[in-house]
Amino acid sequence: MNDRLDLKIVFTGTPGAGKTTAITALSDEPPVVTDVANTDVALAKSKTTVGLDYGRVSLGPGRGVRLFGTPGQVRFDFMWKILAADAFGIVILLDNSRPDPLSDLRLYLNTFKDALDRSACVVGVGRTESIPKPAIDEYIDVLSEFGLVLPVLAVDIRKREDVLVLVECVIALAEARADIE
Amino acid sequence: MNRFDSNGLQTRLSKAAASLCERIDGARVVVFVSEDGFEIATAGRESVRADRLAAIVGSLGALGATAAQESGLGPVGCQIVDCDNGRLVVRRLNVNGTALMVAVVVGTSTLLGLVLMHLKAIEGVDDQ
Repeated sequence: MNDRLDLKIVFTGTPGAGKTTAITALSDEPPVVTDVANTDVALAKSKTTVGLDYGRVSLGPGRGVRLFGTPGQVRFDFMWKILAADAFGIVILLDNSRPDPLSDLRLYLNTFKDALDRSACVVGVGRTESIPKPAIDEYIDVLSEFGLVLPVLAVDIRKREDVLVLVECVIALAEARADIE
Repeated sequence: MNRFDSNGLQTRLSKAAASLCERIDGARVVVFVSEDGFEIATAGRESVRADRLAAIVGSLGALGATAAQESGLGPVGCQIVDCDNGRLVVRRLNVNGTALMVAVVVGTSTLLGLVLMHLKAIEGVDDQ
């Protein structure tokens, strides 16, 4: 169903952070996925997204969000730029169990620098319960290196309500920015 | 690193890429690509960032397959990007149970049918 008031929110972040899982958890309908067999021995997963994910969630009468997911690997950064174009908001998903999640955040902040100038952004960090370090405050410190003040939330991306909080946070942030401007 | 590096398939595909490049008049570059966008073997007469092209072909292949599925068109054989200055032709292959793609960049003077014929002929690359 087409809806003129739909917003476009892009989920990006590291491989394995749960972008496809998040969109699957939140979408009202089965999402479009482009997962294929993973051949990268450095990546401990059987399937990986190489094109995009797409789903849609209704937020009430006449209001919905189109959810786009990017591939995580840097070799697909051309898809990041394509998908981030004209995005209303961006969700950066990170995985606390990765070797250096703070560097991961820096990579995405650098790559999405232009998009972050025009789109609201929220950072979601997964697996914080099993791997508590780095702490959320450390992510906030990295954002401040870039002159950014953005919400950073610990999330379990498998839970629909956690993904919905990220989306609602992006929308609230965009509305607050619009009020200021 | 991907798992094609050490199983001998890369060597066979390198030979196949060189052979294709030679047989297709006007071929600028031939790249064999894993389904998840890794360059496995390349041959070509022009300097192209084969790793970048491979990743793009990986995305293109997945998007094409998904679009075909959504449209009820069945499995994808070929994808063609037809441009002012040439074509990018991508064909799906199954080598020993492994899904791969081969991408060829050709100029405007190259007959599309010729490219398709040569790409179809390499289905048995693993038997070589």
